[in-house]
Amino acid sequence: MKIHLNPITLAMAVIFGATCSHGIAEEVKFNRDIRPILSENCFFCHGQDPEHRGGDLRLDIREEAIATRKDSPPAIIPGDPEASELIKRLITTDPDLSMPPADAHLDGLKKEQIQILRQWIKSGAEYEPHWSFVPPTKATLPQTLPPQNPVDSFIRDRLKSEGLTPSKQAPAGILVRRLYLDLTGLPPSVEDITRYLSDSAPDRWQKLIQELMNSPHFAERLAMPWLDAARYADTHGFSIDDHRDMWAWRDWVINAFQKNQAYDQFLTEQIAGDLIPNATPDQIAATGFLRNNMATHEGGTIEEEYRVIQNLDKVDAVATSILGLTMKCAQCHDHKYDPISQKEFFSFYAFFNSSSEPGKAATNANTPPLMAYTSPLANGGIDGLKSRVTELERFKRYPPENILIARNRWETEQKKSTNGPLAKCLSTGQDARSAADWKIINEAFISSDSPQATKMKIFLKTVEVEIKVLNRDIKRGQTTVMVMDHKPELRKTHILIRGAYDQLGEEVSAGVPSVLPAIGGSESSTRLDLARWITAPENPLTARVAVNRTWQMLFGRGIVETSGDFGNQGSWPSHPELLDWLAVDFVEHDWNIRHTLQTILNSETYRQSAVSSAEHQEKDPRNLLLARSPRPRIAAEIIRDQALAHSGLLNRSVGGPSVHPPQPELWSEVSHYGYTKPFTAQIYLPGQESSAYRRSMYTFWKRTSPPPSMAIFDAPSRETCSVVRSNTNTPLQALVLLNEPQFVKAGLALGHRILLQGGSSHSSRINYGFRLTTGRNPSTQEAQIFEKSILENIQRYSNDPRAAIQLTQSTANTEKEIPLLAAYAILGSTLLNLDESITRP
Amino acid sequence: MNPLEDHLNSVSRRSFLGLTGLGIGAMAAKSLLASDSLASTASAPSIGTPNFAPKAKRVIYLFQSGGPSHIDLFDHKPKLVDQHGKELPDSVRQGQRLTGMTSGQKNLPLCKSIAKFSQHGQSAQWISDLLPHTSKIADKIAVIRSMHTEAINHDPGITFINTGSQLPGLPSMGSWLSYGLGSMNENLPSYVVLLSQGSGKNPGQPIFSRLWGSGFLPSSHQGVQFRSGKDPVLFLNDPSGVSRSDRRNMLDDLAQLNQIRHEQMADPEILTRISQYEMAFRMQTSAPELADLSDEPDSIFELYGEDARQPGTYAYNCLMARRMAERGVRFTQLFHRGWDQHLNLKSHLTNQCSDTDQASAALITDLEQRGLLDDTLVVWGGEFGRTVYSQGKLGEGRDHHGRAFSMWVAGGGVKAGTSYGLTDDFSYNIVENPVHIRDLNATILHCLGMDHNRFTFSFQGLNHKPTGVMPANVVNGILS
Repeated sequence: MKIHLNPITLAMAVIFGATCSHGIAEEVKFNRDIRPILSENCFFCHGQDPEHRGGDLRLDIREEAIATRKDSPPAIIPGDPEASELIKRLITTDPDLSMPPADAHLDGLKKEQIQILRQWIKSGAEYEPHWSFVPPTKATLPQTLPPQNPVDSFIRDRLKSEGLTPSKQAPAGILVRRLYLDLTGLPPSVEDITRYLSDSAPDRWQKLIQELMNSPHFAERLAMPWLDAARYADTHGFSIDDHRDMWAWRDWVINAFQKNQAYDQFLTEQIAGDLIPNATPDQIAATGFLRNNMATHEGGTIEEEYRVIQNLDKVDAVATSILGLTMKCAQCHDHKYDPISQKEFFSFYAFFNSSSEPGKAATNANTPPLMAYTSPLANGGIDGLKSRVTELERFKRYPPENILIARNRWETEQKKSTNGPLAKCLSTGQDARSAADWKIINEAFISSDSPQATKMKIFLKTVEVEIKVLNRDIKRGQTTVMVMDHKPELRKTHILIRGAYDQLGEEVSAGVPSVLPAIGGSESSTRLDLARWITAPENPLTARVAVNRTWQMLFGRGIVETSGDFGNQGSWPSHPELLDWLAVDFVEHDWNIRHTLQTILNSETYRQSAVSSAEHQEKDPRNLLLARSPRPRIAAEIIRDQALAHSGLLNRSVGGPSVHPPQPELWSEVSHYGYTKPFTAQIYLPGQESSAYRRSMYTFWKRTSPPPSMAIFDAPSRETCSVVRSNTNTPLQALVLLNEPQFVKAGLALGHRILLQGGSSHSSRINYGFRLTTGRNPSTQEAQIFEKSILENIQRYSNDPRAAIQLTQSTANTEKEIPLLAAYAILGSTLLNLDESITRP
Repeated sequence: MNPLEDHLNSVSRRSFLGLTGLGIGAMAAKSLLASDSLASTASAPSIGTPNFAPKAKRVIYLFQSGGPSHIDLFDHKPKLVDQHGKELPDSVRQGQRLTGMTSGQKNLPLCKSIAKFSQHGQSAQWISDLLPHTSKIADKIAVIRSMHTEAINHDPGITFINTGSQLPGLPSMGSWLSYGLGSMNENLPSYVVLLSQGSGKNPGQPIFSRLWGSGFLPSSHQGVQFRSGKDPVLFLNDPSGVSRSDRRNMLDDLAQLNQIRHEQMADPEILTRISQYEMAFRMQTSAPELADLSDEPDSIFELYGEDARQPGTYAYNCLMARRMAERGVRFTQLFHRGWDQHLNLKSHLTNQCSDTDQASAALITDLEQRGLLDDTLVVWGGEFGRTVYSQGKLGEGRDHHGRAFSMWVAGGGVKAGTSYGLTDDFSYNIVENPVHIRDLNATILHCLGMDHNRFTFSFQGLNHKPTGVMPANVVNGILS
């Protein structure tokens, strides 16, 4: 039994500690056991940042830590912990000498931590370079018969050493549902499950993986986490937060996954597509990744300040999502924990500092440099723009309720008193009126003197602006994408003292941190050199960070839990050798994401049951060791997509302009709506019909007021790069699933579907519905609860036909059917609300 | 309720669940649910413990968005009368950067206050005649006239004061407190946000959900917006055709089914989900009850003003804030827009004050008469102040000014009747007791028993503090 005192295993140490009397590992590993202690407690003052260095002592370099110093003994005397000043300072009771000092506001070291430091010093105080900066190697796999999947080798080896046994395979129906959700973000139909169960081929699992990977929904699924990392959104984000057009870039991402573009090429094009010799429009459009940063055109903006902020954000996005580095920390001073100096930070920043992108955003539009571009999906997307214009035109005829009521009242008055063209227009029924009729009517209405007429004036102007920007692209037959350009003559890059845009320090040229491999190219390295460096097989971070995120997508948590921080303060990998094996294997297989996925999906570890046991809960409540399959709640987008899919409402078309499904009008409460010169994206104008049921990843994303039912289920705001979502469990989530109008509608449609397709008895229908939503048959006890509820609800709604009609929103059925449909609407909603429905199976 | 006790209870409750996670499966769901406030701790897992004895249990933050003019409201500068129309001396500006709106302006003419000032109460606080009601509570508030911030534009300024950074990504103060102290009410969220728009500048500058966002903290700590109208919390109402008893029946079925699933899977998260549904059910009653003002007597509407009868107004939101305080909401934050007087200074600022003055003062009076002021901290202020020089023609408007501005605080932990900090004769630079916005935030935390240096959350390699990276100091001069 070993105790690993680093963030991820500390929790386990506490658990296992109860069964372990002495509590000290026989073998101390610097990276695993010692570095986290030093980093957390010492490096802030005794690390590489000279500015706050105390006592001229560094503990991050062995030579300095063991050196005899002028006025004090060596901090560390290898072999002699009790004589080492480090230990003395940790155990002293003298407040003047005690470390860490009180003003560091740290809790101090635990006894076990001091003990482990002693043991490390005693055994020679050897240092190791930080693990993630050393290139990964493939550990030898244990030879077993039959040969094991490599994932299982590592996972089970660790389980064995911790005295845990793996779980048995999950039932096939559950596995099918798991695989569909993980690979496509959409659930299987009952037929999909049956088809799999009746397939007797020994390779049915592999065939299913292949089939799903060929689906366009697989590409959508892979794109989802990348959109968080790339902080993709449909608005500028700061201040007025009007719209921008980056959906064609989002389509580029989906398309890249659909054609299984190698990950190194995927990154190269996004970082430097414009610099690739003879770059194609697709490659240039890919650099939109770097342009997804927020931007402002607030009145008082000092342009250079925001040009710098935009660039800093590009560095953060690349460093966090691709390299797993918290480079941002070195923006104002040398990094406190990782070997990145402020000078190195600005050398890295220099790669992005030669674009002509201004510090002030365009209004209601993309900001240059931009490029006319045709989305590779949705037939270029222009049809989607035209449908949106149609949706918006409708708002001219049917404005929001309060205005509409006032106008209808006004119409009635006018009909009595008006003659001439207006009277003629009004005499036509509302639905039959031409656009010209409506123009005359609306102009007359807004010139009438009433508060609602003034509101209509503002509303119409706003709708006109929305239509105008769409027509610009429709006319051109192409949308645009914000892209990168390279204009090194524009400016030199300097260190910004304390990160301030107007405090120029030393001039620097583009470069990478010296702790990492050297970059190729000449002195004037470009973004293309950077991309080649990032994707070089020697780069110790890129592949590790990528396979870790792939793992996270499947298991809900990375092998490194801090997916955006592989530095000193990041968490120690739960399975370091597995991470490295997958990383090396990924590069060996030409950065093929599908290959890595297949390796994991074919493991027994992936296919384990999620049933927990008392032993699991006692020894590994957080499931870090994977003796069972994890059951995180599924992601916000997938929860909604799944409900729409179950109910048959989902519109599965891929790509195109973002859409506006129904949601509460929250925008105008915070936005600049009502301003005399209207901006786009200030009031929410929901779309109709099929656009209302597109997958959630296509919902228009306004950064200052994100779609509420996504935010409630932990989607980030997309203001900055985000690679880990929180996973909360709240009452507001219950309210979304119970009452949000689209979920209500989905419950109703699901009930209807169950009635139509689930056979003729309640029990066969219950079986069908339960199988559809969970992938398994209900137990007798479960089925009884449903049946009782159905019978009671039929009775209840027969007694209250008005409530039945309200609930079913239906006039098409005979009176007799309505209470039945109402009861099944309740069943549908109950199924969508089950813990099991919204949890990874 | 004693927060320390809360913490101990929640810890024992959690460890109870952890140890007997399997045993609980045998218990009937309803008996578990009926027990107590498991739901509130589960909804937003928090540290749940202050660092020392708190003076205040809750905060009401009356955020005045846009940048109220301290020169015309709180910072009395009689010598400006003689300087009116003269150019801002370079010795005062000291190279201070100006926003893009006035940096190109040829002249920067000094503009005296548009309103008279007088002294009020025992404390003899100087307050402008634009705020007659606030003047009457002069002895109950501490006015800080030496606030400062580096931000000079709205988006960075408002993000800075609410999250500790000018750029997005960090948690708001309210979500820090929800995370740190947890909930005192199992039927309502611990952090509630109310929005309103004044008649000063309409529409006011935009605000953003990041101002009440949870940043890197778990999203269960994000502020919950209470809206006027029939759906005070999003998706609160059952669909048409579903009665309360229908909903109750469905939730009973759901709880039973989830309970069975728990017996099958032994995942404690399922029990949390059951309790979240129960809290949602209770919130469906408690939130409309909260928003139903029919139990308020006429005297209350006399106190807050008739506007308070009109949902969505600032006065209504002030009254709602008091009702939330009574029900144990930890942090209630009003965002009132329209304080951005670049133009029409006189008429717009006058309107803005008459929309808000009476209700702000009424809230203090009302909290006091109910014995709630002692443990409620009330904060009034915006993201920055306004320039002493005119934007445009003399007297037309004022630009943003972050180098000095005024705010006031009252209630739990605050020394009432205090005048704190001093600016120069131009209300441009601070000459005594500067209070950075992060000092104010540290002080708010202090009143709630939290040490801003020890209250941290680790994210992306850094132990983040609510007050940010730069040092902050508690302003002892305004504390009792």
